[in-house]
Amino acid sequence: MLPLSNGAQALTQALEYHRERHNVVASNIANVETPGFRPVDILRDSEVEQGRTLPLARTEKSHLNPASAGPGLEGVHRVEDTTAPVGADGNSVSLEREMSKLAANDLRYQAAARFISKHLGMLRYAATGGNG
Amino acid sequence: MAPLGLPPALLTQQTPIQSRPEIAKPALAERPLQLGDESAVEGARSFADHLQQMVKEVDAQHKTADARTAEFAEGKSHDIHGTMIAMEQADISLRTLSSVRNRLIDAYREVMRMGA
Amino acid sequence: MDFFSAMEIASSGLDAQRARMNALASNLANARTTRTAEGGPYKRIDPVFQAVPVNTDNRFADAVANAAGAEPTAVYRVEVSELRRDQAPPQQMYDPSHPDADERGFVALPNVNAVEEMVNLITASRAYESGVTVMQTIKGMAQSALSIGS
Repeated sequence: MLPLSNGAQALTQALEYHRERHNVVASNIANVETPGFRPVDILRDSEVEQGRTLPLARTEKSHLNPASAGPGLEGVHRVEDTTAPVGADGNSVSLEREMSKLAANDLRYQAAARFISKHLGMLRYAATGGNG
Repeated sequence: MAPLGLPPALLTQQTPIQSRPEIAKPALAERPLQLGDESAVEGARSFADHLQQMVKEVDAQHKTADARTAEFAEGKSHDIHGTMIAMEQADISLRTLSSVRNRLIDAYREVMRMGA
Repeated sequence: MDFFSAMEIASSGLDAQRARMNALASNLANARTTRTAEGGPYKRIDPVFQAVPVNTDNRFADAVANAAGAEPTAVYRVEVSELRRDQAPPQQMYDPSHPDADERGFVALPNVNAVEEMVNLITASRAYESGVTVMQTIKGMAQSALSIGS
């Protein structure tokens, strides 16, 4: 069985990451009115470094075992946003933030799925001798 | 940079083979290709070079597309359309190469059929 | 595989908001109800939400959690743990002609503040729409996954 190229492997990891992140964001949205609930997120190193997220006061660094996790999953942090304003009931979920995270995550997932589909299509074309 | 990465000479070149002056005289029907026919071999060699060049470019484009894809997947790049276009370029150049190869094989077969 | 967890979570949100809207509708409809079966004016209903952890049964989530030494899940669905009756004292209105007026002429009205209920209704409606959007994105992603390779 031919191994996937570097890019394709990174895409499969990305698909898993984004699917899992969707669970987390969905959880935040469902609990928008649950008393005492603080939103959670799972972020990758690359995104925190680029400053694409707000500065987060508290981070639980979870070092994945690189051997099992593969490229793209190293340095995934489970994060609690402690800078968000807390309402009277102790809930600090910002619906707007979570909805925009949802849209971005959806887009990234679908883009990754498209790219891997394209990549597999090229492999199939080559494998069938240009006639498939 | 020529479109599809093909060298300009190849694009403007005319087919069929008879139109090339080195091979046309004498006409193929009167004098079939023989061993040591320098001009024909030379034509074949330059075409082989073109083909090799194409293969290199297809490989380069695939590597670029792969690198861009990896960057996007890891979250380092946010360029969806750039990545998409790179993949499309790689795909099209692969198909072009495949098409050229098929034509070349067809032409070779036809030439072999012509031989005495 | 695990779009179903996200769907379960999103639909729990929809259920919870619907329960909230039912309670709000009941509160608004009974804002002036002075007579109830258990005696006394109507008491406001307030659903209490609770976050319940979901086991996504996923290698990725487990790896994240186990490495951090934290609890094995980061995602929660929401449940209505109880429909609490608001024990705030009823509002008193002076109206001696009212059939339910007490000996001093005051009528005990439900502890429902219509403005507050309307604001809650808007919030619940927004949260409900967000839940619907979540469901739609999940469906879109699942369909994307299904069309890999075609």
